[in-house]
Amino acid sequence: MLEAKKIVKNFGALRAVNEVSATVSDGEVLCIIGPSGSGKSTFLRCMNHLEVPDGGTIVIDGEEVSEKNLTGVREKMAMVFQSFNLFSNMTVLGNITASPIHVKKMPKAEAEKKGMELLKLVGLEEKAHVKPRSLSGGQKQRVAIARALAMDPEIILFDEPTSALDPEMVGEVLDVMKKLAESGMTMVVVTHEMGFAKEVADDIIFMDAGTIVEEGSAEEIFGNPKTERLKQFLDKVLV
Amino acid sequence: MGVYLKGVEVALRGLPTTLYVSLFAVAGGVVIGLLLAVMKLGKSKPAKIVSDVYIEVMRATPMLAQALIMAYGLPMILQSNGVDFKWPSLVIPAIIVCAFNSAAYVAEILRSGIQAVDPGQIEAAYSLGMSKGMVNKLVVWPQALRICIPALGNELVTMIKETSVLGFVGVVEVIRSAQLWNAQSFETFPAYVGAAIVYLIVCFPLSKLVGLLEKKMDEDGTNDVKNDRKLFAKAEKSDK
Ligand SMILES: Nc1ncnc2c1ncn2[C@@H]1O[C@H](COP(=O)(O)OP(=O)(O)OP(=O)(O)O)[C@@H](O)[C@H]1O
Ligand SMILES: [Mg+2]
Repeated sequence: MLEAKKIVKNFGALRAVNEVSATVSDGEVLCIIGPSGSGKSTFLRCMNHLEVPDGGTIVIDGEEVSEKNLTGVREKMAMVFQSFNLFSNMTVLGNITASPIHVKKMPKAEAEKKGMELLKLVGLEEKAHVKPRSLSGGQKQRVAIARALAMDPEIILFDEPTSALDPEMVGEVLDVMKKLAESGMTMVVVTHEMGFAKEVADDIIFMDAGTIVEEGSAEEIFGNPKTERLKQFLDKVLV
Repeated sequence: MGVYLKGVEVALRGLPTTLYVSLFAVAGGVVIGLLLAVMKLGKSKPAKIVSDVYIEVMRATPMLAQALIMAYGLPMILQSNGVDFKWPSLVIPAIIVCAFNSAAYVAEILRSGIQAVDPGQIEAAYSLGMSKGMVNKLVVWPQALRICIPALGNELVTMIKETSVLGFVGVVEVIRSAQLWNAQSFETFPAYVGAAIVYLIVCFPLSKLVGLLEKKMDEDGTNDVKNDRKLFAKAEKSDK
């Protein structure tokens, strides 16, 4: 279980995240939606301290995240980025096995066997030995998901995983994410894909100007928005 | 014609010395330069100052002065303080000075290489639980070194030409060979043209090779990061 308690993050004079709290239970999918610049990414990045919060705490499995337990905590909390961020000096399989081998101290053969299984899961086992540069955007993102899974994380954070993709590749990535959600993976997903949120999310947070404006199930958020701001936002994105 | 061939041949005798001094210098320069670059980019303020001062001093003084200090000044001051010190061979201070000199330039090359590594990949590495040491070893340094290869090649070409000042310190490299032959034959023009030709036949192909490397790296390696960034920028825009 992941709890974010009253997270605050400032960039200079700008308060990007203002006392935002959220709880994600095991096996649950939390989606974060909201307009550009509302603080979604910043809040997500506070969860694994890629941005160190200026206030509030992140608690995972009852353990408060701090500088001291950071690397351990990050092993449990993998992240998938909008711009893929695959290591360009390693092969696809190398990307997936780097952390299991070096962080988890898993024997290389075992890590590679597991890496191949994960590549099969995302439908890319034939790409194991190429460099990421030869992959399409959708393929890169599927490798990034396999890389995240290789750490056996308890939770995966996704920051707009499909918004850098050409439209015809969005589906293949969302399919993998749906499979993960069905298999019981705990996920926090910042997304502009309202269809995905509707279908997969157990809980949805709507953020605007650094705060949570509304929170609820998919039916509540999409079927019965209470605030004017959410209504306006949905009108704009659900054309 | 024969006298020019002779000039080239004499200069060639100094070439092995020129080459190994240059190679050792750049290799040593990479090791010291890496240390300086890490100091410059690190958190410690004093380390940063030491590195900055070192780099500025080395770059703002001629290598000839540095070489004279190392080869003659240092033994002198040690002897006058009662230490019996003499370089067993002048090639040793020559390599040391060239390495220390090269380090200042290499440090700047490596610093910009390290800074050119995609910050997104560094974040991804941290997000996978890697320590700072692992991130550097697995992601930053391999990519930075690759990015730096052409510039380091250029540094080697520069160093090969720069070592010509070592002739004035007494190291028998290309220029000194030419000088010595000139002193006994008085064939001044062929002697120095011969030396120039020797530098040309080494440095010209080397710079061409560096150019090719640069082109090849533009075509593959570093570019996919740039492409991803373009994609990313496009997505950002279409969001708004
Ligand atoms: N590193 C940073 N330095 C300064 N300001 C930042 C930084 N990161 C984000 N911001 C600012 O904080 C605010 C929230 O940004 P954030 O990226 O969290 O928004 P977002 O909801 O993820 O938007 P988008 O949908 O465009 O990704 C924005 O005003 C942004 O400009
Ligand atoms: Mg964002």
